[in-house]
Amino acid sequence: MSCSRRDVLRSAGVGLVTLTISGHSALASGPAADPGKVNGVLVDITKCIGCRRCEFACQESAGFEVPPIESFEDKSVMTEPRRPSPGSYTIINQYSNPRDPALPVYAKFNCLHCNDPACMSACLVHAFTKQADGAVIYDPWKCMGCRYCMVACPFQIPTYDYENPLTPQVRKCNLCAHRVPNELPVPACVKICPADVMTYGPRHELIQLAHDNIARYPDRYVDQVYGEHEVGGTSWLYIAGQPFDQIGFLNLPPEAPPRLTETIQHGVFKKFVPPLAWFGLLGAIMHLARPATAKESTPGNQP
Amino acid sequence: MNKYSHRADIVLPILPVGLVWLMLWAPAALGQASSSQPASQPAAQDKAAADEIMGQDCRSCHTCDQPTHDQLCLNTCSRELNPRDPKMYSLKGPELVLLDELSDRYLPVPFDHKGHSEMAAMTSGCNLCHHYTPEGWEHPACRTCHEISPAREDLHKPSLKGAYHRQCLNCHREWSHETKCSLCHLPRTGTENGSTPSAIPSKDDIIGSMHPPIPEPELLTYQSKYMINPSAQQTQITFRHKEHIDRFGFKCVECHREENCSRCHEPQEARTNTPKEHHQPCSSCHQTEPLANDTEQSACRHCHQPIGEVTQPFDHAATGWSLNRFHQKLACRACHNSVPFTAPVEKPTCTVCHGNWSPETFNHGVTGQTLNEQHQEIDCADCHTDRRFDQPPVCTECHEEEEIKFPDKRPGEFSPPETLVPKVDSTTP
Repeated sequence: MSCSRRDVLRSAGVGLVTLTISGHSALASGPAADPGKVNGVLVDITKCIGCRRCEFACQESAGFEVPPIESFEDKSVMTEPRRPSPGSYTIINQYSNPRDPALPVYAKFNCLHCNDPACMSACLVHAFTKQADGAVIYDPWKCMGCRYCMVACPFQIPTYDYENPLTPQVRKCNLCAHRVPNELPVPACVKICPADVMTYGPRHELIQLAHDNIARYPDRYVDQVYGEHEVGGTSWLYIAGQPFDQIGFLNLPPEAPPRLTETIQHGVFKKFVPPLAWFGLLGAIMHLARPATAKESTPGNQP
Repeated sequence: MNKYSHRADIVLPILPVGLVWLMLWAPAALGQASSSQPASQPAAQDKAAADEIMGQDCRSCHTCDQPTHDQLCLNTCSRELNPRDPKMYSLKGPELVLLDELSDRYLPVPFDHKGHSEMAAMTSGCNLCHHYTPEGWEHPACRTCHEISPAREDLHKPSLKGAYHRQCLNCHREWSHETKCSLCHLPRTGTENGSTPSAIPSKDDIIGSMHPPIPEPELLTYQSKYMINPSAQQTQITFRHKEHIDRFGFKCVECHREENCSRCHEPQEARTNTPKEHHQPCSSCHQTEPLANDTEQSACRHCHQPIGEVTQPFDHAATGWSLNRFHQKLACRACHNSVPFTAPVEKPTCTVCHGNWSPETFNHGVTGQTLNEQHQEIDCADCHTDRRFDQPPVCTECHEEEEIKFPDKRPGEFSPPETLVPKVDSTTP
């Protein structure tokens, strides 16, 4: 009897250690990235002319059926704010320009490829991965369709194939992760842009470039690089000529959402102490609240 | 037991070596740390001194703060630093340039270089596009600096495609609000696989989108809030545009400097110039500030007049020197060499233009004075001494002064040339 109890305790101890180690490793596996290798895109919103060529190139590169390129010259679709859709991972919205009402401002929206992606943190099945080059990519074979990623994303970017009931996928920009580097060295939208609105390169260089440009032309830009600090930093960075909340960008805190949620979630199981304490407390309450008759009937009290 | 003693064998000899190394390294490391602090101070001073010597920030040429001989980190195509005169304007450039370096999708873009250089002369000159031309170079081609590949090495410079487009869009988007590709890019014609270019456009027909001729206005009137007297609400200034060009010989650029397309293409924007800025284009010739003995009203009345009153064209007779019908047609600059024209003409002599007058070629009758036979044969300079045709002729070269005195006696028939000279006066040229 005593021998079997010792076995139970021993196995419990092993289990505890295992859990502690695994819990610890789960905590340690934060956003994995070498800052020198993370690439990104700097978008200079003041340069965008709203030609929507990037929308065309994106759809073509993603393998969708694309309407003829001329149809993208229709600027009327941009007057109502749009969001990325399952058929178009990037869209351009039009905003009024306080400096010159005749020349609207065009802002491109797509997945910003966060340094610490909330979609990846929220995903139960690890369908999202942050690649070493900065891209946050999605694996449809792992996805179970819970769409927590859509709720978690601070930019409301991921979309869902609601019109495809059999093989639906979560859809979002993957920074053209499928591209062949020799044929398409940069994402398709960056390549087609006639005005070089977007610059693809190492993220830390782009941040430097953005600040250089702001310092060089202080009249042209507001002194903010959107995406440098927002939600822990994003691979896509923006500079603009007017405050970002006027052109559809959300004011977001510098902390990445996963830092809060994961702290709570992992804290609950930290070193296995909170569960042990909780269940110990419950056990103690049960022990103390046990009816007297039950106490007497226990085998240990028998002579 | 044996195991532990073996470990001590290894550790013990290392210990003194380690201690010696620590003693040697620690002072050196501390010395370095302490010496790095004052070293940064002179570096900052050097930079400030260098900035002062160069008259500009190092960053306008170098991409890093402290360039070394090994790493100059030069900002190769600086927009701010162009040794050439920004107002340089030359007609020597090509009339038409075909931009065909990136024509995989579109046909070459015909670029009206001459037209654009004339327009650029009104703003920033050639620098507007040729923003980097080292001393002694011809303008380098855009692709010398701007990389063709979208994955470029130097992120500070736009790619070639971006550079071209931005250059054009800066102005074209502003005034036409149109960004259609077909505005500049000729569509490919022919069958699906045959992308044969259509005929190379002539310079007179840049895909039909050349600027239409701008009509020169005869006269322009401007309203001013300046009041001549309390009863008048506004005053009006007349500007005879055509006269300033045809007669006074002004070139467009002389007034329309520092202007661009939006001056005409954004006319709804109210101009908010100060009076001084309004006067500035006229000040080079006209008195726009009251003189000491002027009352303000009399001075301003030259230009500011009641609404409805239009100033008359310039009449040379008002200067006390009326012109005959031939000279009225001349541009002012034919006689007046410099602006302003109020300065006296340096050599008011007919021979400046009429140097080839000779008795054989000149019909003296047009002056109203028909010469008789004797006088037709003598040289012009015999009467018009020193060929000063604006002075009365001298008769004393041949005649006694008591006998013949001009204009009491004349060398032939004389009929006052009413039809030729509207206002006769002794100094009429």
